[in-house]
Amino acid sequence: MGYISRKNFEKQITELYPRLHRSIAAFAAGSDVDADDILQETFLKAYKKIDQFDGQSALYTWLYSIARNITIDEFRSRKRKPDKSHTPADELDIADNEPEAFEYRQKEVHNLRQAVSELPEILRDVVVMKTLEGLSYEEISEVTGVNMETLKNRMFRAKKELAERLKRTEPEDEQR
Amino acid sequence: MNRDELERKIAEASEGELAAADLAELENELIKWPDLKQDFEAIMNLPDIGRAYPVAEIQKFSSQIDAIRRQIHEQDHTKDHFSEFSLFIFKKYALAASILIVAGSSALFFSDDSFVNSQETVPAEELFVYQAEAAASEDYMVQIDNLLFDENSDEY
Repeated sequence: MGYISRKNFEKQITELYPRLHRSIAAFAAGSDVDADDILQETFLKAYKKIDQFDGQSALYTWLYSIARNITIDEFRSRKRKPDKSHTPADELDIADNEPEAFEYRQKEVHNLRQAVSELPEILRDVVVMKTLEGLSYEEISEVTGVNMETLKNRMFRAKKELAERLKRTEPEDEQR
Repeated sequence: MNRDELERKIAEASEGELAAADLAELENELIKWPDLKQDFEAIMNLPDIGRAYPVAEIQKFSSQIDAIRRQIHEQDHTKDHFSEFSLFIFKKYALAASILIVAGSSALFFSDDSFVNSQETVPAEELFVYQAEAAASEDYMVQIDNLLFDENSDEY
């Protein structure tokens, strides 16, 4: 008997799907990998292997590690070619009623997403898990098999690159 | 603190994981590292990345979630159907299979050479016992006939 029943797992799909979708969409940004396809495969795989879930990590972390591995496999099979024009504005979910603020925010969000999607995979991986998922470095270490010190150094490099990329987009925006 | 340690501290600070005292110590240390201090300031001024990826409402994914549930149920149904089918086949053909196995093994047993060789053969002498006896009885009858002929020779 596994740590969680199949019935209970099925119930939790509704709650887990949106959060996982956000992270996988961010992780796969810039590629033609579809987060919905990844999640469909993830949940089916997890359902089949639910007996292997031992409860040592949170169900969410376990699912995320499955989804992440499937995404990485997809990157490899498709030989990921970054698509700089990715992240269309209609995908952005920005709730702001003021047109000017909305436009500003839309631009900021677009630039930020663009910068994240252009990060090298190993750096983007840490940013997504830490910043979007809210996983601890210890949990990220369990998922990736990379030690915590290296992860922190990668986080520093990722954020440094993000800051530099955002700085480069500022003059472009000012010119418009 | 060396450069790597400072970078790790900056990462922790940017995640809000550094206590006030540690943050002050880091800022103090960074005075000796102007390039890192610049990076620290740029990183601390980054917009909130999480806000760029709001969690969409569940309703947006209802069709995808339904599709997953459907596939899970189909998977379960296929598995159940296979078990039922296997049991049906077993029940239906188990008796026939047992009979076939018994018949097959019997046929093998009887067609075996050792079985043929093990059959008792009638020795040649025995085959002639009755013939010999028959010949003796014939002689006996002839003898009786002769005797009778002698006794009743007049009648003949």
